[in-house]
Amino acid sequence: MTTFMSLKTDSPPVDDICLARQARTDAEAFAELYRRHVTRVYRYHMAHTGNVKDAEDLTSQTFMAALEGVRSFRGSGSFAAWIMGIAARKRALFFRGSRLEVPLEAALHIPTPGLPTDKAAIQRLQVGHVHHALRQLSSERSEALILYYFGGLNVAEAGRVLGKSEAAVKMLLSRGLHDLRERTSLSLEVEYE
Amino acid sequence: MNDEFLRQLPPEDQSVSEILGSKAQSIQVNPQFQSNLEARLKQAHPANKQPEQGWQIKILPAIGWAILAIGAFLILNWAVRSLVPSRQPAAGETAIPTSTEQAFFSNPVSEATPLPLGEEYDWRGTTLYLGTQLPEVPTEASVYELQPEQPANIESARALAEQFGLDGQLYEAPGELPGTTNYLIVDGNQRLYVRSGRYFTYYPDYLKSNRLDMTLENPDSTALIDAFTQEHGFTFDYRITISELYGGYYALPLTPDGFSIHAGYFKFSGLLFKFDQDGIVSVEANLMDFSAVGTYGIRSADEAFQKLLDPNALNGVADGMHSANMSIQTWYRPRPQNQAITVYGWMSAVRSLEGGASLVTLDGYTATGNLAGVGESMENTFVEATGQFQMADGQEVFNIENWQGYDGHEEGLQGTIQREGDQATITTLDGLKPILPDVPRDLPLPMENAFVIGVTRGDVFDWKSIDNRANQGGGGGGGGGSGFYKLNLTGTPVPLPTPQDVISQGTGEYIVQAGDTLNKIAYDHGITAEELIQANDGLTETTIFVGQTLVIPGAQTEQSLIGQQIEGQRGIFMVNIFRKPDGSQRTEYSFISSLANQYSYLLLEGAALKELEQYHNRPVDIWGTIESTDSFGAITVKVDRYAVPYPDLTFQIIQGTQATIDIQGQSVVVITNAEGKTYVQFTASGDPDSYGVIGVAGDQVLVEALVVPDETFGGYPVLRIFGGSMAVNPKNGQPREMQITADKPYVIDEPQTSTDTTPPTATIEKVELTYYVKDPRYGIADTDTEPTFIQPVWRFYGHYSSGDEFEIIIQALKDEFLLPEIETIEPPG
Repeated sequence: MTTFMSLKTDSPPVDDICLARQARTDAEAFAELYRRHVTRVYRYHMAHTGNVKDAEDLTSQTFMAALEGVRSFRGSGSFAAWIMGIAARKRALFFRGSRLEVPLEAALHIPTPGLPTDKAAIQRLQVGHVHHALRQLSSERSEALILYYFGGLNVAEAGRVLGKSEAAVKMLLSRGLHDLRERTSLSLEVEYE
Repeated sequence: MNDEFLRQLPPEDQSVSEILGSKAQSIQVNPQFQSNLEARLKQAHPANKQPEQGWQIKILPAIGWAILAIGAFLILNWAVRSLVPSRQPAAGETAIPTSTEQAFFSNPVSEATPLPLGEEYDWRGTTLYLGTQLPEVPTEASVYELQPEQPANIESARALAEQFGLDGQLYEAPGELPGTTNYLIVDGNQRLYVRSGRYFTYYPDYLKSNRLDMTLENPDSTALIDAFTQEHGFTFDYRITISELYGGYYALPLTPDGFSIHAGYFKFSGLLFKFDQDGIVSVEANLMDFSAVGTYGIRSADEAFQKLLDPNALNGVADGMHSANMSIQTWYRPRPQNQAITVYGWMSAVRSLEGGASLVTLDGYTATGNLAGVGESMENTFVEATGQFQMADGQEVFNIENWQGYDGHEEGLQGTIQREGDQATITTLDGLKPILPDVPRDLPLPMENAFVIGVTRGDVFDWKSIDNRANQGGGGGGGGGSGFYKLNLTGTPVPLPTPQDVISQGTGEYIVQAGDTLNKIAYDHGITAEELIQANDGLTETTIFVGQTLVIPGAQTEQSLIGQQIEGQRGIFMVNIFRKPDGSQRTEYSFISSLANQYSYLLLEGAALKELEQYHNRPVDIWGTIESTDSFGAITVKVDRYAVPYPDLTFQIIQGTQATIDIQGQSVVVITNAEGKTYVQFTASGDPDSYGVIGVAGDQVLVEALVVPDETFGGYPVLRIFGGSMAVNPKNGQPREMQITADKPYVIDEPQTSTDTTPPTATIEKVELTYYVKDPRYGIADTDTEPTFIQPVWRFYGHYSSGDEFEIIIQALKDEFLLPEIETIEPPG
């Protein structure tokens, strides 16, 4: 569970589940949940699609669906897992037709304010590379990795989304890392500082 | 990533892991996209919709449709709008104003005056007052079977016309139902449309009726209705009731046992009379004939009222409401008589059934003159016609010189009308500014939000009417309830499913009941419809059937949680006070614990909790039993015992700098105070915090925290953070003071809508036993052989404090006469 300290107010941080309950009738509560989780949803979709436009589309769809479904969110869980579950379903629907082939060079620019252009170029390369590399893994393993690293879920939460036990998730993660190491050139990547 | 997986990672995987992590971190959301989406989400949130829609969604969970009942009525009307010229005053006469202040239907209850308060109840989130006694009635009532409609033929149409004293021309008119024809009898200004002996409409003065948007109150309505029914041979017993929705008065024929028949929301079987100050303007008949089937046991008013209040009883209950009527004023384009003019309007023709000439009308006026090109019958066509308005045989007609189909369309402009020199113009919402010719002098200018109907001709908008409908706010209506049970008159009862049957299955499976929908099942089990579909291959709204076993995905169903014990769970106890705008309040207790617990969020109940209020936001240990779960998924625990581990624990304000560090593979935020003491930050509920850096790491910050004794992490003492801010105001560089507020219970104002509307309260003003049948008027001919029953219902009728009308209808027949199969209720309006 994450507690967010907002710069704006001195009010005590409210946990996600409290907020989700309020979000049913309070638009600002929903907006706060959105702000807390939009990045993880976006990162998840970026890892899957490799391009900004699709990631943004999927992020919009995910949160619109969350707006509808927030009243059926079961309070005894992790909100992060819940919203990532929605993200995963949207992503699955999106890819139902055909898997996108995103050549490395075509990976779009990720705007990050303040980055000097050459560093931005390296960043672009990196995400495209990761996306490409992940697709060389079995979909279960890449999904586990994407939920964990990009979606920022812990093992328990990832397990909820995948419908697997924690032990199974750990297995997928370590095998996924192993595959990445062995099969891809990811580990040869020059570290961006 | 803050768990042990990373800690246990073998060294060879660590660098790949770090690369993934840092790549993930490097992805940032485009700030503009992020804020755009946030704005869209806020706008889409039910709380931010228009007041009428916003609280409707809250109050009517099974809402079927919300239609602009009044709006639709108006749109239909203006499509056949007539050009009714005011008579130009001849020399010596005084000018007749083109619009007058009219007495429109006012609602029985005004918005400002408080309603008489009876007993207070909660009805699906709305406060409901019972403002009247529940009547005693006999324990049995009749059921009738509706007889099939006998469509009219020429003879019966003529006979009906005679009954109305009409002696005129008979025409064939387009039928109400697609593919049928009806009859039209015209006698001077009078018109009678006939579909059958049940459905007909009579206009004493067709042009006048065409002109009125909303009909008016008439103090002599009862006398006029009685005179009319006597004169025209309607011999049935009836009672008179007002119709707010339709702006008229009903004469309701009574069944042999003395009741009227309801045919849908706010709609009755009977004669609907509309008036203006001079008398009757139209009579619309919606009659029925039926035969008795038998008498059967019914529930009492009290039993019906209990069912109304029962949130689990969604079947056998229907409710509808509609917004208070608007009073609309219309000004018509003054048209001179005996002068050549060009008009744009709707022309149609109907065939004579007596070998005579067809009846051609233009915006309701009989058209004469050059009718070349108009076929024997013609659908409503928008035309341009040149000619003159004239009197002929006591009727006002339009004598056509020539006409043609208009290559364009009639428009409705909305905007502000103002005078510019000696002209009037309208500035529309899209920024156009056409001229409006011949604007009546009594039109109050400038007029905002005027609605003008006409045709654009260059710089000029050739208008025919101006009204203020747009100023009246949205009309609206809505209804809900999943349907009525079908009747079982066989004498062998079939058991209806009870709410307990639905919940107590507890196996992760669910058996579909009559009246279920995918959404309802999903909602009842705290999952989304999507999850339900995914768990059941091939499941759709159309493939679902009664008796089908569905898999309910997810861990436990609600039922199996109930009764579980909570043993000495430690968490933060929270007091939440919900305050309503009227000053009343209620208190809820919640309990958050670290994620290591199975249930990290609970609602608490128990008399003893009041004693704990001083420990708001402090650690408490509780013992209790899970009592219930709501459909939202929140678990309520009945607490029978508690312990306060640190009764003297108070909040502290700590100033320091933050950083994110790695402790045993987990990334956590730490704060170091001026003395160099470092604490690990935890969330209020007791989990390590990896995100809570205020500002940028290294900035001086203030945090409001609890230092729970003996709580450590990675060798550091722990701070549970309840609030924080920058230590220095970034705007003016001044140091900030932080007050301790976390020890004060949370006060939550409800409702938190952006418009400051209090949800209206509802008062039941009338409770009556009446009959109900789904209005057969617009049904397509039945192919099934099931009889249509007219059944007894309890009707609870009243108004909201906002003036809107509502009614709740409960099936009165006892359960033994109902089948667990649903038939849908007709939509309102």
